[in-house]
Amino acid sequence: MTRAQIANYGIFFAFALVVIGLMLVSPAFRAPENLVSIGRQIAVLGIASFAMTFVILAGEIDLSVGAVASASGVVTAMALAAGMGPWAILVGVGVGAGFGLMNGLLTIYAAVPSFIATLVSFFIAQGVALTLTGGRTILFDADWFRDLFATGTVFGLRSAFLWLIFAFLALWWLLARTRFGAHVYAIGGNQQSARMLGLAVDRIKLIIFTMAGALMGLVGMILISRIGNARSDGAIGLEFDAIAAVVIGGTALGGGTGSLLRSLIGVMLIGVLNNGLAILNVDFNAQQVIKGVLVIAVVLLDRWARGLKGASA
Amino acid sequence: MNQSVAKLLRDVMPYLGLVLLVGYFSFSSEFFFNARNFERLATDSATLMLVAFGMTLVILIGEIDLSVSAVVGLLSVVLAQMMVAGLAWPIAMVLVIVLSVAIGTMNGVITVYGQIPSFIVTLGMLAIATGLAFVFTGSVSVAILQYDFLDLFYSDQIFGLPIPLIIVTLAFLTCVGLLNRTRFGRELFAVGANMEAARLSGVPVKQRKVTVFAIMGLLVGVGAVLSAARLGNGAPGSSPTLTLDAIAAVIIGGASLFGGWASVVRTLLGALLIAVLNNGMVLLNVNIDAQYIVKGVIILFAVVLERLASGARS
Amino acid sequence: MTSPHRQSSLRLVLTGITKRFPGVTALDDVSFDVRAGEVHAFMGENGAGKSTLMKIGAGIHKPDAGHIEVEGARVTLGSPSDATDLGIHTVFQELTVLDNLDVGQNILIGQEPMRGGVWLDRVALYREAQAVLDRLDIKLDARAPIRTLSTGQRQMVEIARACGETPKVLVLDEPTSSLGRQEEELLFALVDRLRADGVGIVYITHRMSEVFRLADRITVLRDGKHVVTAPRADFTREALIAAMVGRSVDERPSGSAVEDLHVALRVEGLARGSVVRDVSFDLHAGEVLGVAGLMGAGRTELARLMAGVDAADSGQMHLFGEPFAPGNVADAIAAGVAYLPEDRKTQGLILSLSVADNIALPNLGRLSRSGILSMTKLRELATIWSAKLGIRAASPQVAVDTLSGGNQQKVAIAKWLATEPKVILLDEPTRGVDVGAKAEIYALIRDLAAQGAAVMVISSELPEVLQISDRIAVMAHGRIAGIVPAEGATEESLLDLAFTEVQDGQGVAA
Repeated sequence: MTRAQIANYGIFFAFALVVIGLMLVSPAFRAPENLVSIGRQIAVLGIASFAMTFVILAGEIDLSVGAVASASGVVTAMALAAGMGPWAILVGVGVGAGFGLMNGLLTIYAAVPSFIATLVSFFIAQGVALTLTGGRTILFDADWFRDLFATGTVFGLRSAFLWLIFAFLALWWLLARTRFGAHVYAIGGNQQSARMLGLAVDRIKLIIFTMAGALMGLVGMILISRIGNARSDGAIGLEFDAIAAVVIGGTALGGGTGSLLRSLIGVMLIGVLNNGLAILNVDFNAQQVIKGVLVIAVVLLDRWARGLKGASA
Repeated sequence: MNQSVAKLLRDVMPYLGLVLLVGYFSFSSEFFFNARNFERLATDSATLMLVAFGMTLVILIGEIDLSVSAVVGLLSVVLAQMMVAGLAWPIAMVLVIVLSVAIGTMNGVITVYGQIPSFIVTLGMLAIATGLAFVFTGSVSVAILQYDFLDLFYSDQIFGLPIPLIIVTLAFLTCVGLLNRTRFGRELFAVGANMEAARLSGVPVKQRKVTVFAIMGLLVGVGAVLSAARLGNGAPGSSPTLTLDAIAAVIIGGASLFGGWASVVRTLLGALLIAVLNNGMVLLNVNIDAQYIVKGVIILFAVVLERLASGARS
Repeated sequence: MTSPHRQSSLRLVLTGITKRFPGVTALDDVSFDVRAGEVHAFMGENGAGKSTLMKIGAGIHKPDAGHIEVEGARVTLGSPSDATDLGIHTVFQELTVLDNLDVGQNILIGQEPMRGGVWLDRVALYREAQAVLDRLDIKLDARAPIRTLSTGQRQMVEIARACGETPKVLVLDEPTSSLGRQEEELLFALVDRLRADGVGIVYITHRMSEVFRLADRITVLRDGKHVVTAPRADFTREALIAAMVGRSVDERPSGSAVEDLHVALRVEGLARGSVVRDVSFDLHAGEVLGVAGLMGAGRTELARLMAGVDAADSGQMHLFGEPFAPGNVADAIAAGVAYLPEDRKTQGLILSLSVADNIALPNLGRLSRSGILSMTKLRELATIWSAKLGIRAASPQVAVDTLSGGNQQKVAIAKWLATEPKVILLDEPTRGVDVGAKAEIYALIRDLAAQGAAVMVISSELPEVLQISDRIAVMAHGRIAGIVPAEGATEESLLDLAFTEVQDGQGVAA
């Protein structure tokens, strides 16, 4: 394979390899019910990765993803516990969108690099979640809510999984089949040129950040619905897994090239890997180590495949 | 806001903030304004100071290190385990510092030669270090029972000064001298402001950047040793807010977020402000979790002020 | 080839435009108009204000005074999209083609055809884009990824984008600067076709031949002021040059025509990729070697190889007889070779640092002992060189970005002279500086040569090359097309060399 081919199709081979390998090694892995449970497990990571795909395609980054999802989950749970009923959904999405809006405003209008702007949101959201819970677990009693976001089934499919499918289809359409999506690529390709061409760079970025925040609200609600309570560290480290999935899928850091489908495959790869490693009794913490190494290795490989520039010191 | 007003505010804020905080805590807690508390404040914040000095250099060259909390956790665990295994503390200490320099260098090499944004590399390192720390401990903290080690850093004194304070002072003077009075330091300003122009002026940009990450490793390593000695154990999550605090200190100090300007002296002010805040909030029994929000908002304020002062569009 | 001037069909009128930037008035009460179906050429030396005026027309800068009319109606151009909405399209020298997309996506960006208002209609997108390409007779596939195209092809895409809907006004900014001759002919044909379609074309260029080939009317700007607007037929080449220069070109100061110059730097077979190909020449101590050539001829790339910025694929150099193979800029500095890069803002200087820090940067090795700087020496160095070059700054401690363009350039030169080089390579040393500073820099260059340094000056301004050089090397397509004595050389003879065609991808004999 040439470098370019490795960069473009390596992920598909890697995915096939991991799945086949695990199927051969582990009977538990290849059990049908396990595949269903993988589908359920990747809902949270999947939606977060889709949001991250937009952000990275536009040439930015969002480090606040996990903390914002946790905070949204906590706030929603408290709203449910306070008897707000369906309004709680609005609150959850609103909290997420609010943080996303802040990320966007800071990045675009204050010209703060997005890794700093979203780091600030990360800290504040983490503080909100920690302070509201005070280290406790927030319980709520709303079966309708849990059914809606995670535990309910339609045609035998869990609602969390349906949300994933729905989010994928809607966001795929937005990215691949609308003018907005086309302009996301343009901005990521060359922001200066996009501005010269009269594209609404600032507005599109603001929408992307806010949308990513709102989607973290959804993620937070799926998260608390799945386990039936909310904790301050519910989605800890999610930003890293999401960046990992996007990057492993082959969407380039720096923006302009990649796709939602690629991120989906990245998500499935991580989902399968997590599941497989757990089945093979690999410690959760060791999984973290493996993922950390994997991300750096994949990014390095991607840089290599695209050809490193500036060889001389 | 007018740019010159923002500049003035940015320059005055660390002093003003520090004075206001000290005033407020002195007024609201009888335990705050006394020598004993100040000594505690100094020793408690030693690790933060060292890491903040390192972070100043890293931000000066336009990079970031998000892995410090996790790495300090990992190093403290390794240090404790080595002592439990019977290694003499001086050897264990040196090994841990060497390990930390190696981790820093690795961050630098991957960032610079792999051309990967440092926030991704150090985020990866964060995951790796966190995972390894838990793997090594099985999620429990490991007690350090070599009392010579604990006493050296937190009971013994030289000329009536606690040893962590002496180390921080030495590190501070070295960093200030390094940045302002050496070839290396002047070149870092050039590298941070304009890498290409620096390269065309004969500055070995890549080596300089890797060296900065290695220095960061050294400071993090020493910081981890002090942290382990203060806590008397090694634990993965021993300093959860360290990364936040260090970045906050540098940004409050008015460093440019894009690199090219930073000052260790002003970072010291920023770090003092954070240290006073940490200390005062404990004295006032403020919910420890609320500090994330308080510090987050402070950084937010500092960041926007810095952008206004440097004339970014508003 | 005079097309009828229909006075009634004024497309774009700029009246009394003034634009000030900190420290400089870029445009001073300039008026300008373009009519339907004409090519209005826009000429002037670097810094005359052409690009500022163009950016005002494109809605990127807002004028401090004056007003703009499009087809008789007063308008405000607050953003690039205001201009395009009114049918004013600008093709910048720096292309805005997005290379992560394909041809069709680029042509219709912002105007993507939609189905039912929400679905991107990809079939229609490529069909419409292809129709635009076909209409303009541009032989490109709408589905081709941009990264597979040549620079000339990318420019065609850029023009096609501007002509998706036939524009009212099309502004072309030095469109041939990076084109080969065949691509140029295609471009000229395209301009002719657009003119016939009634488009008002503003054509900014440095090249005489293009002006006389294409223009209906010509406007000359000088130092931000309007000099003259007249039909092409009213100009001779000499008159045009006189209008641009505003003075008879100074006599060339008598060069130090020393007979027995010895070789300072010998370059043999130097090559890098396709940009620098098998270049050999000698640079003598005490001479000024001018290097002319079109944009993209490989001049800057050659200088970068000589200064250790980039690594050569093959070839060798000898510095005063010793093998010279710099691995990086520091090696070159140590050996006594200095390179002033062409863009002082992004390459030559660090704008946020002080004059003193900038001058010290390539000299830090000499100013320090075991890494520790002598601040006294650093200040001395800055003071000495600020004085030598007449840098007008409040103190050596002020940031360089507060200085005027000319003074910035002097700082950029000073930092290299302070390294006391034996060989100095100057890339566009007078770009964007005012006339006064230009004269000072010319004098400086002559002085350097007189003191025995080997000086190589890359310049895109032929009069400048002719004025300051002892010998002139002309590059074309990565090779040296010829080296001639400056005495007796003319702009025409140099351009003739610069246009030397490459044969069979092999190129010319040097």
